[in-house]
Amino acid sequence: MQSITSARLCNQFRSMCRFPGRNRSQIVRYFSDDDSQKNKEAEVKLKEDTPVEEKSEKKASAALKLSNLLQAIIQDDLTMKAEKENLKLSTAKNKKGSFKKVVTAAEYQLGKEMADAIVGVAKELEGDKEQIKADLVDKVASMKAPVAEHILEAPVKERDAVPKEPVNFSDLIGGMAVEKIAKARPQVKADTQYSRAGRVRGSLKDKVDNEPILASRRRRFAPDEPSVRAGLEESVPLGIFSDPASLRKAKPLLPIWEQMHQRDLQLAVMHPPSNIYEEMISWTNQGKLWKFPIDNEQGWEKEQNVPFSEHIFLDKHLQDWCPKKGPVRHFMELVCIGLSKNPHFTVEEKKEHILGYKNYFAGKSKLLKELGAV
Amino acid sequence: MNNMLKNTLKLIPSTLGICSNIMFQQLRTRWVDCRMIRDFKRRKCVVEYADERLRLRTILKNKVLPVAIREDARAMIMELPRNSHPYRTTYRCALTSRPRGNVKPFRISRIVWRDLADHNRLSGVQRAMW
Repeated sequence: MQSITSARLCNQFRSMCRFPGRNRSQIVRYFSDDDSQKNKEAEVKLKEDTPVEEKSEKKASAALKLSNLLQAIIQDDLTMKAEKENLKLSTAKNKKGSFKKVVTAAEYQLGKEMADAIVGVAKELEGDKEQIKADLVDKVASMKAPVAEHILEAPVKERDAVPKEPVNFSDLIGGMAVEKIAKARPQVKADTQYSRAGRVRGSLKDKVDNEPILASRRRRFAPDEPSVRAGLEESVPLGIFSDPASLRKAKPLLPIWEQMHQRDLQLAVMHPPSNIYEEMISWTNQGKLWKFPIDNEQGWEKEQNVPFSEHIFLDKHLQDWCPKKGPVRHFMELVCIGLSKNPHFTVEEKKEHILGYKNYFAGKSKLLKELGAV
Repeated sequence: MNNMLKNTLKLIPSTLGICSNIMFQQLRTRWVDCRMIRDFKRRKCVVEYADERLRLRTILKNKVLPVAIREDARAMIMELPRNSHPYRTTYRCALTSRPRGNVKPFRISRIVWRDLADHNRLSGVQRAMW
């Protein structure tokens, strides 16, 4: 990977050597991500390229722009009045020890009107008036710089004719990282796609929208943040369970919970057996030991009420269907003997088997008649 | 044979019923692998057809009934599902699904059996001493 990138760099340097016309700034531009550098160069280039004939056209467009901007100022003033109460401005903190020269409006030759406007704005806003004023002047001057140069180059008449660049109020505010609360947002939505202030507002809005995510990210690294107490009865109930009493009556979803609860209750009452007799009593209750009196059929509940004769005398189940003689009769008698000796089948199972044979022979009655077995 | 199978499988339907009731609970089957499930299906099939197969076999094996009837019984046995024959089942370990080396009365593989016996988990099992 590294070798590839170094190879690329080498190629680039080689190509630059081939074109010695490029100076250092070009090289810097080539490698830097700094947009301001590029922009500056673009402006300079533009200025050089513009022919003299286009200046009149430019003037007209400037006038149009001026009128637009004036209207924008009026609109902004109106919106500002509405917003003023909700507006919260975050200003840069004063850095102690860093001496920034406070420049006045006069130094930048901004004109009286602009200076007045800046003073007015500074009055309106909260915070350090002087600092705000200086910031505003800086801002205006930085925006005006190319225009001012242009004016200086032009002849005196034209310079007077060209009006001073009106500054969009929203531009000024926008450059200063304005924080807005959600209420004010819908009003400024209209011009988000046109003015720079709108773009700033848009980005700010995105910031506000992303705030929870950022906050959650920040929480990881801020352990000393005051923790929020969560209680059962502190917030408003959702009203899902309208009748809590009925919930208590309802059976638990899994029977195991009820069983475990019963077991817990039993264990709470029960004491461990104190001697071997008590232990054996508990074993008997658990079904681990024989109960007294001794009964060989203990736990044989299924067949408890069935008499022994039911197991032995199965011929009666043949009476109503079986032929009196022949191979089928012979076979069924053998079956009954076998079943009567079988200790594993219940009486019901034995009856089922006999019934099964009955059904089978009933199904094969035609074949049996042909064979003469019936 | 049939009774033995029935007795061993007596518990299964009840547990299945519970399972169907709590389908929305976290699903944690007691099947170790697919072969164990397959074996269980075969065992169910064996139980289902056990009685019928027993009857047909009795008819087939005896010498009292005429040959035509016995041949018919043979044909009927052949029509039964293949998996209803007990020989299709495997004695698998109930805990690890191991198909061989199982201790039959315990229905677990020798390895599990040895482990349980070592930790005194098997009733009536004692280490050989002489």
